[in-house]
Amino acid sequence: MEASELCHSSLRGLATMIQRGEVSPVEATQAVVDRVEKFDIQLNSYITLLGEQAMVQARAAEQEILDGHYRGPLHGIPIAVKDLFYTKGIRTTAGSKILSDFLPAYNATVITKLRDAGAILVGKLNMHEFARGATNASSLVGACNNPWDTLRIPGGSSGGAAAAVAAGLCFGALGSDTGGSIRIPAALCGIVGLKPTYGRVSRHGVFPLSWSLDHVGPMTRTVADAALILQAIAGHDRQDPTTRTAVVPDYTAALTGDIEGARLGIPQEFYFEQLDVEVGDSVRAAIQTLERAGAHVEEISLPLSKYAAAAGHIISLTEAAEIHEKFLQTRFADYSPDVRAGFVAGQLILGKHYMKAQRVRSLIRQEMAAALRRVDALVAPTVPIPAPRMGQKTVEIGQVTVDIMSTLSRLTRPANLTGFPALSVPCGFTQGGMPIGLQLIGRPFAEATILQLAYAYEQETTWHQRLPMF
Amino acid sequence: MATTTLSTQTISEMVHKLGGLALSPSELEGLAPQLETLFRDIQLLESIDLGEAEPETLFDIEGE
Repeated sequence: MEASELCHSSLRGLATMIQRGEVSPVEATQAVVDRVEKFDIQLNSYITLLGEQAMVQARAAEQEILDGHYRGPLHGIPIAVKDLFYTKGIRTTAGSKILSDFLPAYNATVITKLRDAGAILVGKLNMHEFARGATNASSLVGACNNPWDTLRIPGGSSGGAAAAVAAGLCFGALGSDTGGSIRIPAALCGIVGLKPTYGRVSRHGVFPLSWSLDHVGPMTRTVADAALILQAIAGHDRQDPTTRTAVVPDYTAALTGDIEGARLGIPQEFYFEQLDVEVGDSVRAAIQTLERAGAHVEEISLPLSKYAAAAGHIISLTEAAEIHEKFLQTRFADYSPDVRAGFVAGQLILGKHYMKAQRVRSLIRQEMAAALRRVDALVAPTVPIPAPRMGQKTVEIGQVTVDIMSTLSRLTRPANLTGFPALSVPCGFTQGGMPIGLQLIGRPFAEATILQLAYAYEQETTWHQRLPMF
Repeated sequence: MATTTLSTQTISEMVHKLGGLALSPSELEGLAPQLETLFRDIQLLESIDLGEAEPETLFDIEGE
């Protein structure tokens, strides 16, 4: 198998090849490292490439497997992580000049879990500075580009992760999601992104943006790959008191392709308003595909979702202002202006505004929970528009001119406020060749359900088989 | 700063008193878009009848 073909195979496909001895971890890791060195100059998806360290890990994994100690489907798989996950002794910048020399003294819990599962850490990925932005334009190492059109943004804040996964520069990645930062770039780069339930995956050792909204999850080329990574990182962590002891199910067992009788709710307000025409058409076609696969569709009313952006904005800026208070006073000039402005604005929010936003959050959560007692999942677009051009500030939707920054996260914020699991899966392309994402939102801790639905959809379509120019 | 309901002087004093930061006029101007969005969000939430809703209990998501 040629290196390019190998690097575009799924994580699960590579795992099978490694288990059968058809491909070695050393071969796979070398292919990824070579590919990053060759192509990433055009994408800028990596902040740190761990070439030699990754090869050391790969040789150790290969020997373990040869010795008969196969750990499971992540053993020997080259993966990469957004550069806000603490990696012991390895620079962790959060995309900021302020942390450009930061060497954590310990690994994030999810890094330890991935390493325990045998995964090879190939590098640390580009991101919008401190995860505060959906374009990936502001970063210590410069903007990251979309592999489907390098003049367009990959989305953010986990933009490097989405670009690297889409371009075959790793077999899967970890991102974080405070207002959509996994799902937005997943949609704009044509990959799968899963934000699990709040409390499902530890955030210990992950540089925070907003404690009550931050989530960690997988970004992959297929739904099955997302299930495999989630399996490895999910579960209670005594170092993160927000994690739950709820049993972690077998996520791959849910991937049967059978969704006969599944009940899907289509929001009648908010989610299908102010949409790019091609995005709307693709998502409606995806719903019809799910119906043909056996799902029942019904209309759902979620009128309070329109307040999610405002509530999420106030909550995240308030919490971020506290996190960044010291850096703002000592390293003010070292922030990107857009990121800094948000954190300073957060310092002006009064306690009553924060609590009002939390009260609104309660109502939004109650409303979504009630809807999800009627249906198994909600179906909606992930992002209202395809990837905009670099530097583009506004976009025309119908007769209306809208701000790009707020538009990118408009449909993803509700699941951060409620903490419910949400996934983006590719559901089409624009005529210009840019990917479109379908969002599935499930009940708390029902990741298996949205994975099952997304997998069934994926089996009915070929969107995930398209490759970008790299 | 014309897009917010507060004057540049007021914003400057708020940033200094609440954030402990002394910003230059250009830095204050750079805040304008963020403040405009923030004040619009605050006004939007002011318009909602919250009834007796209590604040969301942080970190308390259970399976349903």
